[in-house]
Amino acid sequence: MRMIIWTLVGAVVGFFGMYAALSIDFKAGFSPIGFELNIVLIAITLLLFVFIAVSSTQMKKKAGLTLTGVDEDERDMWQYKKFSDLNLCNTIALIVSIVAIGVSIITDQPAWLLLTSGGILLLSIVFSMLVPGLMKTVYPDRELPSASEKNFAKKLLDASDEGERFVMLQGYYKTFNTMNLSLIIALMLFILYSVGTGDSQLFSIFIVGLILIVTNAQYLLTIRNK
Amino acid sequence: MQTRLKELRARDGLNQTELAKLAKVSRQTISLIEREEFVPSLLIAKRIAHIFDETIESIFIFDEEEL
Repeated sequence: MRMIIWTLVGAVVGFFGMYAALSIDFKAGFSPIGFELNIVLIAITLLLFVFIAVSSTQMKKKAGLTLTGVDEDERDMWQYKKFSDLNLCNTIALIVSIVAIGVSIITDQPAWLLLTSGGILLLSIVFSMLVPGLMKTVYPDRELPSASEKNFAKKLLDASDEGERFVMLQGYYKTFNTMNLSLIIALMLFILYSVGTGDSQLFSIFIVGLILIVTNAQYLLTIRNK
Repeated sequence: MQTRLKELRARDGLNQTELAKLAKVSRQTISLIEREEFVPSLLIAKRIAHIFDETIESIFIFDEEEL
């Protein structure tokens, strides 16, 4: 009985949600605000670059200190959190800079803005190659793979101990579930956008659908064959 | 599982980083074990027991229901 009630509630909410979404005027699109959007995205990336540069310097300085007792543990905790923050900022910078160059090209921005977006993207790629190297500064005693090595991620996983893998597994599990849900929501939004604007998003729908199938199949085949 | 790791570290004057180096694991793993969020493998438990010159059972204490 409870399930039937929830199904009916879901159906009603879904109907009105879809009705409301279809009544939104999607036609405006991003073109009129392409320039401003591009500037904001570049500014965000630049701010992230500043954070990465400042944090890297702080980490190198702290790594050089000789500490003992609780201070040594606290330094390690700080370094670990800072390195995680750096990695996150680096990933966001890379994604935002890709989006920025996409906005530049699609909304037909002036050449200087396109070049700036390209430069920012290039810098993001350079940062993403340099940041993993900081691990050697933080953990000089550990035999960690170099960022330029082939299969870096797999070698890093192999070099991690069981506690670190336990933490990573929790992170990966949450990420996998969030990614699945987000991509399904993205599919719905693409369909809504296509219906609302008349601009077919079928290409994106196929790509996202393919990503969902490949990642889920990869996960299930990995656990199935063990 | 309960653990006496923190107490034993204090007894021997070791910080987490030093214990981690002796046990050939990361400080994060020692911290997880201390916070009782992670049950170590037999190998790591044995290494830790060896460092403190104690038995595994005296460091890692399980409830009857867990066994």
